Amino acid sequence: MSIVLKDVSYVYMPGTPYERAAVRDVSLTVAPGEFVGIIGHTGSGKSTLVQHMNGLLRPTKGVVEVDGVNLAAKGEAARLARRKVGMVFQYPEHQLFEETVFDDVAFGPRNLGLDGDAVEERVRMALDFVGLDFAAFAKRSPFRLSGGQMRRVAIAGVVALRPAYLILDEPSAGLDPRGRDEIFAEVSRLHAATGTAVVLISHNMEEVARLVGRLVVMHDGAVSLDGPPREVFRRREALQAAGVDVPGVTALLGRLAARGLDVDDTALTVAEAATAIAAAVRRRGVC
Amino acid sequence: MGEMIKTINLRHSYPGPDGTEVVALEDISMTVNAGEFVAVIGANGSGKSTLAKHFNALLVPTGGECLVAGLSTTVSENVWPIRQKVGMVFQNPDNQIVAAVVEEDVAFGPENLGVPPAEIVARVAAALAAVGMEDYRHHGPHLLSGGQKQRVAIAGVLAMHPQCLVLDEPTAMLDPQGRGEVLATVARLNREEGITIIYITHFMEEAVTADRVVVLDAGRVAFSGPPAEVFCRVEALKALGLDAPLAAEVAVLLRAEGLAVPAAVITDAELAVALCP
Repeated sequence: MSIVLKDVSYVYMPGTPYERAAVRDVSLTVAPGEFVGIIGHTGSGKSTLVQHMNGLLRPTKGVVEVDGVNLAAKGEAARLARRKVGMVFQYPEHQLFEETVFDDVAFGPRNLGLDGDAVEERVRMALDFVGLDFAAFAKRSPFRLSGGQMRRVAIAGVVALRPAYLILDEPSAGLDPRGRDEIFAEVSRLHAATGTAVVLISHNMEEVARLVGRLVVMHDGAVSLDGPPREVFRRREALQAAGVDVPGVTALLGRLAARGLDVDDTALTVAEAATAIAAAVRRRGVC
Repeated sequence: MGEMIKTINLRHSYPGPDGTEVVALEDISMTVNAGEFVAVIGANGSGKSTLAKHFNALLVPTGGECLVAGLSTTVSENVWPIRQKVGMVFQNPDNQIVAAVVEEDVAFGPENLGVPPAEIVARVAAALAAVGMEDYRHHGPHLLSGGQKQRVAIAGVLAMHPQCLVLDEPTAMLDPQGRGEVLATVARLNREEGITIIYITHFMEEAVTADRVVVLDAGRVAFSGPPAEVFCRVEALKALGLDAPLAAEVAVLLRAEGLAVPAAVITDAELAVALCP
């Protein structure tokens, strides 16, 4: 029971002058309940990779299985397997289309063939998860909301499908700091409360470092690092080769160490960093 | 130094969906001097973009005044001279590119100003060189990266020879490398070409590089000043839903631990110097 990618390669526009291999021989497993971050330079293949996880793209080579079912197969089993994986694209608010927030979030559940009561329950649950009050928002037009609220409605539309695996491609892009914090807190809560596996693509290293249990670094279509964030962020040379920034905290501690401060550089949060720096300065004795 | 932009008690309101008046900006009085690099920060809905649109008369005040190089935006004969002085760059590069070839896109502005063809060629070459995109002049914009597209959009504005660039979250949709490219380009235009910059952003590490930072909250100026003064107010920034630069935040925690860290520390480099002299 997992999303399993076996030797997956994907080539865009094969046989044309624009032919480009976006993913090369990637083998990766996402277990139920995992919280996986995917980072990498633009063009490293992150988005192409995750679009294989619910069958939106079929691998040029290799196999993608969800809970043991090959997504490329025909028939009911493959269709149900694809439904287990919910995908939130970049700028998902561009996909809002209904006249009310309720109808927009209800679109997916209705297409699953659920009856009216079940649909409403799904919509209530999904709006609750993204922190939007049902009574206040259900009847409003999604197009008269703030950018952060629109994005949460769009995410709710996917959450309402109750996917076993939720994939989010840059969910905080373009939001202000408060909106970004809210989205990440909600995803984190969803993961903790329902055990939904989450795959999160982000350029925001601070958030990724803090939230995920496992971090995958993509470089030139392949997986270059895979492990707990603390271990991955210590591999500075490999990260630099992949064109990925380390979190700001890591960079700051590295700079202090380079100036001769004997500081523990594994901290991932501001508070941890301050504690480590204070300890190092006290050990040294002057400041 | 002349005044590039001056607002006097600027107010902007519009009718809301239920007929009541929505006030987007209230009592904004600020001056941007020629050659300055001013960053504007604030949470979503604080009025940043609305304010930016006043700076080249895309919006006009419903109260008070906005002067661009001394010209009031409310006088309709001033609108074209103002728009030639102040160029705008928006968040999404894909919405700002109109042509199928990079150099044609950059030529679009000067063509519409009626600039003679020979001079257009020179302006396009200079504008693309200024943003480091001269090698891409025959490329299709759709095949460029986000950061490259945004630099082409900036070149398109530069080719109109503005005295002032207003950039509204130009890096919001870019990856870290693209953000770095755009910020470096803008900083160089300010430093070397003397172009006045008004730079709206959610990224505090970008705002740190400005001469001055203006913080908006709920349509008003909450506070403003040099980055060192603005960004050491960590609690006040957080209360407005904004980030403080990491070094400033760490400095606050270190002071709480009893370490003597100077108040003006807002960058990693400054913190490193303070801790490891």
